[in-house]
Amino acid sequence: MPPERVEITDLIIDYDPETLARKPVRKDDVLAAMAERRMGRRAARIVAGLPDVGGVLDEAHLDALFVRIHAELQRLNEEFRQGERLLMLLEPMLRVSSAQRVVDVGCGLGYVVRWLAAHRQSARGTARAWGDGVELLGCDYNRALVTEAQRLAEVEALECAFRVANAFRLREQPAVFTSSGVIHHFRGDALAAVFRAQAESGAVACIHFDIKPSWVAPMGAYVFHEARMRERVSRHDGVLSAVRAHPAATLLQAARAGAPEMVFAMFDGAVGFLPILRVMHAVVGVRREHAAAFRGALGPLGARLSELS
Amino acid sequence: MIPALLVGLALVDLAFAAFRDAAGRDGRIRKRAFYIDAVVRGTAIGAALVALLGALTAAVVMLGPPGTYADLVRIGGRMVLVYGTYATLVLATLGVYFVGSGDVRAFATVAVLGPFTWLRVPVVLAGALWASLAPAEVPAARPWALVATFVCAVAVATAERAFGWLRALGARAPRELRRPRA
Ligand SMILES: C[S@@+](CC[C@H](N)C(=O)[O-])C[C@H]1O[C@@H](n2cnc3c(N)ncnc32)[C@H](O)[C@@H]1O
Repeated sequence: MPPERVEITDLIIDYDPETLARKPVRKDDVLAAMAERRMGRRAARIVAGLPDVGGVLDEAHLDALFVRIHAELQRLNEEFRQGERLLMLLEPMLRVSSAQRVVDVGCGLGYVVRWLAAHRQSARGTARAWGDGVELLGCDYNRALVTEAQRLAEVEALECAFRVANAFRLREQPAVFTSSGVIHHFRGDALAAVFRAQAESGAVACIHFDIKPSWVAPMGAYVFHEARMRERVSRHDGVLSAVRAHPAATLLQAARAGAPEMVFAMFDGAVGFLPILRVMHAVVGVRREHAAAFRGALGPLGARLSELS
Repeated sequence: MIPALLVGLALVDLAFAAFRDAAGRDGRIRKRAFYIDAVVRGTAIGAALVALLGALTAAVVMLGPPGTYADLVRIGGRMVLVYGTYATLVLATLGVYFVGSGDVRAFATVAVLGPFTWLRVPVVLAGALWASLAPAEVPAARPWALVATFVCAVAVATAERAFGWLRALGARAPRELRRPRA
């Protein structure tokens, strides 16, 4: 069997895992990897069309492309209310844990982090106030995205920060780790490793949202990305994300194997007969000692959370 | 009545197209002003386009044989039926999107708004095609009416792309992308 298909954006950019320095990527290598993965002619055409300098993909062009792609992606996050969705779980989590920091893993343009910051600032002093003193931090390997996230935060005077960093190597304060649309990029052993790294770096809890796989998800993603996205890379990768999204069982198994000191559950994990109703699910984890309090703090929302174990 | 309805439908459609063209280009959290600006500008461009198409249709009516106008109204009646149904569904769903919460909202987007945006160009063209099959009373007028019908339908259907081209041409848009107003 050939290795599985992956998102083009996973292939056209590469970092040194230690220094996070950008590594040159040769177009021919990408095309060869795509051929081996049987990713099809359409994907090959997209990559073949990217400008290169002596066979190496042009970095400045890629940076601009990534910023455009993530701006489109933000539009989907806005439409799906990804900020509100995360806050539903994050707010009770912060209330019952001692977490002083939220770390968004693979934040991209930092939409969710900036939305949280904007919401917290506008709710301050009202009954909806939350997260006073909690640091909101977005981490990503991609410097172009982090720079743009930082700039956007400054433009709107938002109290949040962004850093080019491996989110699991911060080792500072106990944190709640969050992400959206990132977790399916980790496959096989790397998935359990994420949960291990997270626990080792002092996580008190985590909330990782991603597309919920179902029989309609790839079809829905196709229609949606054709309708909403202008970049050809986005159209291609959007469908693959839905195809590659991890089922609940995979997420829970990896999480429990990786971090035995935490308990995990799925939020909105049930597929139901109409899977289009709930397009996202989240794997939610918390240190054992906070589990009961967290469920209590969720209130009626607890009905959408499976058993924490 | 029918010309007025078609003009109204085209203007609403072009305002939405301008919104979609602006969407996903500005990363700020609060950007109502940016969207309003885009829609206002888009509607003005849309109005200019509709005026141009109106002038063209008037020219066709003047140059064509007697009965061209009546034939256009016959075709237009069917177009109003198709586009009116489409617009009503979209606007009603949009109402649900803004009023509803959580799941209802997601359902409105995933089940209707996304797919309907995707179907927009086919609906515009299929609507024009079905309308042009309306029985003709003055056969000599039909070719004239068809020219006006399809020029208008294709112009409106491709207008969203045109917004993108205009944006790429104009100096304003890239500046907004790189350096949004605070
Ligand atoms: C699909 S993108 C992010 C999308 C973004 N969350 C959104 O919703 O717009 C995934 C990103 O995760 C980043 N990433 C992966 N592993 C990471 C880690 N351990 N720490 C920080 N960033 C990571 C990659 O650099 C990549 O830019």
